[in-house]
Amino acid sequence: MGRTILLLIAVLWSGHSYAQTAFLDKREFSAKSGLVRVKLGVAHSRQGAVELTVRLKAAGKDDQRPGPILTESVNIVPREFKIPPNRLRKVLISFEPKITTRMPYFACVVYQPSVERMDRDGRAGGSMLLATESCSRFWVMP
Amino acid sequence: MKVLKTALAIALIAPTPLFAATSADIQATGKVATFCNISNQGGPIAMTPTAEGDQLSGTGSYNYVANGNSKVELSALQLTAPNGAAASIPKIELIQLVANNSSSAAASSPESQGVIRQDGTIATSILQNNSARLLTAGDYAIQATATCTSL
Repeated sequence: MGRTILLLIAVLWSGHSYAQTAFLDKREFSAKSGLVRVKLGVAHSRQGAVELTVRLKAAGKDDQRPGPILTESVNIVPREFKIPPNRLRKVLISFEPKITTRMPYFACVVYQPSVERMDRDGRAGGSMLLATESCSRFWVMP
Repeated sequence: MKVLKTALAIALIAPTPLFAATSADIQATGKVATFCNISNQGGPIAMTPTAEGDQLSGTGSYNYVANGNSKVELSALQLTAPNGAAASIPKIELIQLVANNSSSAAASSPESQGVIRQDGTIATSILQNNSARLLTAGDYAIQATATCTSL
């Protein structure tokens, strides 16, 4: 916990702004008991409180890319929450993987910016909305 | 008694050699969890049309930080166009990192191979892709997700 807070302080003071982060100390978990419990810390450094969503993903095309969002037998507490800047929120992901070999998973936190109405003075135009997501890969052993 | 007093006085006056056997082992350890951040610094990006009406474009900025090996993926682009609009191609580029102009496939950056701190420009556009070389009038929007993954 102390290390996580120190890391959070280092990240928040390191000069970049707006980002959200998922801190994950441990990178390997065992599924021997049937249930995997992953603790992570979530924080951001935007100007005001924002809504963040935590999700668990399986591997995508390869073991380096997050793939589909997993929801079956997955419990995330809290899954969605509003959090002021520079505060650390603890999140617990618990799930029951049915695996026979070492498998990668991804703990992700996503920030979806709100759609703002853009005044274009009556002219046609367009807008681009880029959501940002930070994922940390971890491995589960059977 | 005199001898004892003398010995005690010497011990108090010159303690260093007498207590030299005392030692303290100092060990400091630490661990830093890996993380990565990708952020769109300015929120939604407005795109304005060219004088020829063949393209919408706009710019923003991004920040990418990772303290270990990581990569960034841009999801498939979701384009919203006016009803019955002529064909067009959306594009998002995080300059010097990753670009995507596909509505069906994601694009991925190379691995950072270590620590990285990078600020850059986001360039976004919608380019006509029809024989009239024009974008149909109306409102357009692109939505996508940039995901950084700490490996």
